[in-house]
Amino acid sequence: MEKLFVPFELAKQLKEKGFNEPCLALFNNSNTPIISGNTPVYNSKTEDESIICSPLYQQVVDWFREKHKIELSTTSWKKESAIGGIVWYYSVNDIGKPCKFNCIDHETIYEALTGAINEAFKIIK
Amino acid sequence: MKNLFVPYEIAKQLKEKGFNDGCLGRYEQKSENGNIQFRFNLNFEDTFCNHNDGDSELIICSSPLYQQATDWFESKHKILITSQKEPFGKWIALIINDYEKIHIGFGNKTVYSNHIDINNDYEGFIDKYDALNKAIEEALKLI
Repeated sequence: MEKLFVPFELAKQLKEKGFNEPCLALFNNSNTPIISGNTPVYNSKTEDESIICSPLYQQVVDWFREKHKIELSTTSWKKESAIGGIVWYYSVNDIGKPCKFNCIDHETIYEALTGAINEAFKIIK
Repeated sequence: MKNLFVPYEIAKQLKEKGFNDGCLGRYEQKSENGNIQFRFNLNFEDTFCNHNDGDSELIICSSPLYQQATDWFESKHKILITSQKEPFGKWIALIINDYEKIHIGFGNKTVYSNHIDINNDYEGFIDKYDALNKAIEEALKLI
Protein backbone atom coordinates (compact mmCIF):
# COMPACT_ATOMS: atom_id res chain seq x y z
CA MET A 1 0.00 0.00 0.00
CA GLU A 2 2.77 2.47 0.93
CA LYS A 3 4.33 2.08 -2.50
CA LEU A 4 1.40 4.02 -3.95
CA PHE A 5 2.62 7.13 -2.14
CA VAL A 6 5.70 9.07 -3.13
CA PRO A 7 8.70 8.59 -0.82
CA PHE A 8 9.66 11.15 1.79
CA GLU A 9 12.33 12.92 -0.25
CA LEU A 10 9.97 13.52 -3.15
CA ALA A 11 7.17 14.64 -0.85
CA LYS A 12 9.54 17.13 0.78
CA GLN A 13 10.55 18.58 -2.57
CA LEU A 14 6.93 18.74 -3.68
CA LYS A 15 6.07 20.78 -0.60
CA GLU A 16 8.94 23.16 -1.39
CA LYS A 17 7.64 23.48 -4.95
CA GLY A 18 4.18 24.40 -3.75
CA PHE A 19 2.29 21.13 -3.90
CA ASN A 20 -0.84 21.76 -1.87
CA GLU A 21 -3.42 19.20 -2.98
CA PRO A 22 -5.46 17.26 -0.42
CA CYS A 23 -3.59 14.13 0.67
CA LEU A 24 -4.63 10.93 2.36
CA ALA A 25 -1.32 10.43 4.13
CA LEU A 26 1.50 12.40 5.70
CA PHE A 27 5.03 12.08 7.01
CA ASN A 28 5.39 13.06 10.64
CA ASN A 29 9.09 12.95 11.57
CA SER A 30 9.32 9.61 9.87
CA ASN A 31 10.15 8.29 6.44
CA THR A 32 7.06 6.10 6.46
CA PRO A 33 3.72 7.60 5.47
CA ILE A 34 0.79 7.35 7.83
CA ILE A 35 -2.87 7.83 7.00
CA SER A 36 -4.00 11.31 7.92
CA GLY A 37 -7.29 10.32 9.50
CA ASN A 38 -10.83 11.24 8.60
CA THR A 39 -9.98 14.35 6.67
CA PRO A 40 -7.42 14.98 3.94
CA VAL A 41 -4.35 17.06 4.83
CA TYR A 42 -2.81 20.01 2.99
CA ASN A 43 0.76 21.23 3.21
CA SER A 44 -0.45 24.79 3.69
CA LYS A 45 -2.73 23.88 6.56
CA THR A 46 -0.28 21.98 8.73
CA GLU A 47 0.90 24.15 11.60
CA ASP A 48 3.80 21.82 12.35
CA GLU A 49 6.51 22.53 9.75
CA SER A 50 7.91 19.03 10.15
CA ILE A 51 4.71 17.49 8.82
CA ILE A 52 4.84 16.83 5.11
CA CYS A 53 1.88 15.64 3.08
CA SER A 54 2.36 12.40 1.22
CA PRO A 55 0.65 12.44 -2.17
CA LEU A 56 -0.12 9.45 -4.30
CA TYR A 57 1.94 9.09 -7.44
CA GLN A 58 -1.22 9.56 -9.47
CA GLN A 59 -1.83 12.89 -7.71
CA VAL A 60 1.68 14.10 -8.50
CA VAL A 61 1.29 13.23 -12.17
CA ASP A 62 -2.00 15.15 -12.24
CA TRP A 63 -0.42 18.10 -10.38
CA PHE A 64 2.44 18.47 -12.85
CA ARG A 65 0.02 18.39 -15.75
CA GLU A 66 -2.53 20.80 -14.28
CA LYS A 67 -0.22 23.27 -12.51
CA HIS A 68 2.87 23.19 -14.69
CA LYS A 69 1.71 21.86 -18.05
CA ILE A 70 4.22 19.04 -17.75
CA GLU A 71 3.08 15.61 -18.82
CA LEU A 72 4.70 12.63 -17.10
CA SER A 73 4.11 9.37 -18.90
CA THR A 74 5.20 5.81 -18.34
CA THR A 75 5.41 3.08 -20.89
CA SER A 76 6.01 -0.59 -20.38
CA TRP A 77 7.81 -2.76 -22.83
CA LYS A 78 8.37 -6.45 -23.16
CA LYS A 79 12.02 -7.12 -22.70
CA GLU A 80 13.75 -8.84 -25.57
CA SER A 81 15.99 -11.08 -23.53
CA ALA A 82 16.23 -14.62 -22.29
CA ILE A 83 14.89 -13.53 -18.93
CA GLY A 84 11.91 -11.79 -20.47
CA GLY A 85 9.59 -9.75 -18.32
CA ILE A 86 8.76 -6.13 -18.84
CA VAL A 87 10.52 -2.90 -18.14
CA TRP A 88 9.19 0.60 -17.66
CA TYR A 89 10.33 3.81 -19.28
CA TYR A 90 9.22 7.34 -18.65
CA SER A 91 8.90 10.49 -20.64
CA VAL A 92 8.65 14.09 -19.46
CA ASN A 93 6.86 16.40 -21.81
CA ASP A 94 7.06 20.09 -21.04
CA ILE A 95 4.16 20.88 -23.34
CA GLY A 96 5.29 22.89 -26.34
CA LYS A 97 8.91 21.79 -26.02
CA PRO A 98 10.68 18.63 -27.22
CA CYS A 99 9.68 15.58 -25.20
CA LYS A 100 12.40 14.01 -23.06
CA PHE A 101 12.22 10.27 -23.32
CA ASN A 102 14.20 8.20 -20.85
CA CYS A 103 15.50 4.90 -22.14
CA ILE A 104 16.82 3.48 -18.89
CA ASP A 105 15.11 0.26 -17.81
CA HIS A 106 13.03 0.51 -14.64
CA GLU A 107 11.70 -2.61 -12.99
CA THR A 108 8.49 -1.06 -11.73
CA ILE A 109 6.19 1.73 -12.76
CA TYR A 110 6.96 3.46 -9.46
CA GLU A 111 10.68 3.56 -10.18
CA ALA A 112 9.92 5.04 -13.58
CA LEU A 113 7.55 7.60 -12.08
CA THR A 114 10.15 8.60 -9.49
CA GLY A 115 12.62 9.22 -12.31
CA ALA A 116 10.04 11.26 -14.20
CA ILE A 117 9.22 13.38 -11.16
CA ASN A 118 12.90 14.10 -10.48
CA GLU A 119 13.28 15.12 -14.11
CA ALA A 120 10.23 17.37 -13.93
CA PHE A 121 11.60 19.10 -10.81
CA LYS A 122 14.50 20.35 -12.92
CA ILE A 123 12.05 22.03 -15.29
CA ILE A 124 10.08 23.93 -12.67
CA LYS A 125 13.31 24.93 -10.81
CA MET B 1 -10.25 13.37 -3.39
CA LYS B 2 -12.85 10.72 -4.10
CA ASN B 3 -11.86 11.00 -7.76
CA LEU B 4 -8.66 9.15 -6.95
CA PHE B 5 -10.72 6.02 -6.40
CA VAL B 6 -12.46 4.00 -9.08
CA PRO B 7 -16.21 4.60 -9.26
CA TYR B 8 -18.71 2.29 -7.67
CA GLU B 9 -19.68 0.31 -10.76
CA ILE B 10 -16.06 -0.52 -11.51
CA ALA B 11 -15.25 -1.34 -7.89
CA LYS B 12 -18.15 -3.79 -7.83
CA GLN B 13 -16.99 -5.48 -11.03
CA LEU B 14 -13.44 -5.70 -9.74
CA LYS B 15 -14.74 -7.50 -6.66
CA GLU B 16 -16.64 -9.95 -8.86
CA LYS B 17 -13.44 -10.61 -10.78
CA GLY B 18 -11.50 -11.35 -7.60
CA PHE B 19 -9.86 -8.08 -6.67
CA ASN B 20 -8.99 -8.43 -3.01
CA ASP B 21 -6.13 -6.05 -2.25
CA GLY B 22 -6.29 -3.80 0.78
CA CYS B 23 -7.97 -0.50 0.00
CA LEU B 24 -8.23 2.92 1.58
CA GLY B 25 -11.85 3.33 0.59
CA ARG B 26 -15.01 1.32 0.34
CA TYR B 27 -18.59 1.63 -0.83
CA GLU B 28 -21.40 1.08 1.61
CA GLN B 29 -25.14 1.11 1.33
CA LYS B 30 -27.02 3.34 3.73
CA SER B 31 -29.64 1.37 5.61
CA GLU B 32 -32.07 4.26 5.82
CA ASN B 33 -32.38 5.07 2.13
CA GLY B 34 -30.31 2.48 0.28
CA ASN B 35 -27.99 5.10 -1.22
CA ILE B 36 -24.43 4.12 -1.96
CA GLN B 37 -21.84 6.13 -0.08
CA PHE B 38 -18.08 6.23 -0.14
CA ARG B 39 -16.03 5.85 3.05
CA PHE B 40 -12.31 6.38 3.71
CA ASN B 41 -10.21 4.02 5.74
CA LEU B 42 -8.14 5.32 8.61
CA ASN B 43 -4.91 3.37 8.58
CA PHE B 44 -2.62 1.21 6.51
CA GLU B 45 -2.72 -1.72 8.91
CA ASP B 46 -6.43 -2.34 8.67
CA THR B 47 -7.28 -1.67 5.07
CA PHE B 48 -10.57 -2.70 3.50
CA CYS B 49 -10.57 -6.00 1.65
CA ASN B 50 -13.40 -7.58 -0.28
CA HIS B 51 -12.91 -10.92 1.44
CA ASN B 52 -13.63 -9.59 4.93
CA ASP B 53 -16.58 -7.41 4.04
CA GLY B 54 -18.85 -9.72 5.96
CA ASP B 55 -18.34 -7.43 8.93
CA SER B 56 -21.41 -5.56 7.82
CA GLU B 57 -24.05 -6.43 5.31
CA LEU B 58 -24.09 -2.76 4.36
CA ILE B 59 -20.58 -2.91 2.92
CA ILE B 60 -20.73 -3.63 -0.77
CA CYS B 61 -17.13 -3.59 -1.91
CA SER B 62 -13.75 -2.05 -1.31
CA SER B 63 -12.71 0.80 -3.57
CA PRO B 64 -9.26 0.65 -5.09
CA LEU B 65 -7.31 3.66 -6.19
CA TYR B 66 -6.86 3.82 -9.96
CA GLN B 67 -3.22 2.94 -9.49
CA GLN B 68 -4.16 -0.13 -7.48
CA ALA B 69 -6.61 -1.27 -10.12
CA THR B 70 -4.06 -0.95 -12.91
CA ASP B 71 -1.39 -2.63 -10.77
CA TRP B 72 -3.79 -5.51 -10.15
CA PHE B 73 -4.52 -5.98 -13.85
CA GLU B 74 -0.82 -6.06 -14.53
CA SER B 75 0.22 -8.42 -11.74
CA LYS B 76 -2.74 -10.82 -11.86
CA HIS B 77 -3.73 -10.78 -15.49
CA LYS B 78 -0.77 -9.37 -17.41
CA ILE B 79 -2.98 -6.62 -18.73
CA LEU B 80 -1.38 -3.21 -18.82
CA ILE B 81 -3.62 -0.17 -18.71
CA THR B 82 -2.39 3.31 -19.32
CA SER B 83 -3.66 6.62 -20.62
CA GLN B 84 -2.06 9.35 -22.61
CA LYS B 85 -2.95 12.79 -23.81
CA GLU B 86 -2.92 13.12 -27.56
CA PRO B 87 -1.66 16.18 -29.43
CA PHE B 88 -5.26 17.13 -30.24
CA GLY B 89 -5.82 17.61 -26.52
CA LYS B 90 -7.91 14.60 -25.63
CA TRP B 91 -7.15 11.47 -23.71
CA ILE B 92 -6.95 7.95 -25.00
CA ALA B 93 -6.51 4.77 -23.03
CA LEU B 94 -4.31 1.87 -24.00
CA ILE B 95 -4.80 -1.74 -22.98
CA ILE B 96 -1.96 -4.14 -23.58
CA ASN B 97 -3.04 -7.72 -23.10
CA ASP B 98 -0.46 -10.30 -22.11
CA TYR B 99 2.24 -7.83 -23.13
CA GLU B 100 1.54 -8.67 -26.75
CA LYS B 101 -1.76 -7.56 -28.15
CA ILE B 102 -2.74 -3.97 -27.90
CA HIS B 103 -6.36 -3.10 -27.44
CA ILE B 104 -7.22 0.50 -27.67
CA GLY B 105 -10.22 2.28 -26.22
CA PHE B 106 -11.05 5.47 -28.03
CA GLY B 107 -13.88 7.55 -26.72
CA ASN B 108 -17.20 5.93 -27.33
CA LYS B 109 -15.71 3.88 -30.09
CA THR B 110 -13.56 0.96 -29.06
CA VAL B 111 -11.06 -0.30 -31.54
CA TYR B 112 -9.36 -3.61 -31.06
CA SER B 113 -6.09 -3.96 -32.79
CA ASN B 114 -2.76 -5.71 -32.56
CA HIS B 115 -1.01 -2.47 -33.17
CA ILE B 116 -1.60 1.20 -32.64
CA ASP B 117 -3.24 2.57 -35.72
CA ILE B 118 -3.05 6.31 -35.56
CA ASN B 119 -5.29 6.62 -38.59
CA ASN B 120 -8.32 5.38 -36.73
CA ASP B 121 -11.11 7.87 -36.49
CA TYR B 122 -11.39 8.29 -32.76
CA GLU B 123 -12.78 10.84 -30.41
CA GLY B 124 -10.80 10.59 -27.22
CA PHE B 125 -11.87 11.70 -23.74
CA ILE B 126 -11.77 15.15 -22.22
CA ASP B 127 -10.87 13.75 -18.80
CA LYS B 128 -8.04 11.35 -18.03
CA TYR B 129 -10.12 9.40 -15.55
CA ASP B 130 -12.94 8.93 -18.04
CA ALA B 131 -10.38 7.35 -20.35
CA LEU B 132 -9.15 5.11 -17.55
CA ASN B 133 -12.70 4.10 -16.62
CA LYS B 134 -13.34 3.04 -20.19
CA ALA B 135 -10.07 1.14 -20.33
CA ILE B 136 -10.80 -0.69 -17.09
CA GLU B 137 -14.29 -1.58 -18.30
CA GLU B 138 -12.80 -3.02 -21.48
CA ALA B 139 -10.06 -4.84 -19.56
CA LEU B 140 -12.65 -6.42 -17.27
CA LYS B 141 -14.20 -8.04 -20.34
CA LEU B 142 -10.88 -9.71 -21.10
CA ILE B 143 -10.71 -11.66 -17.83
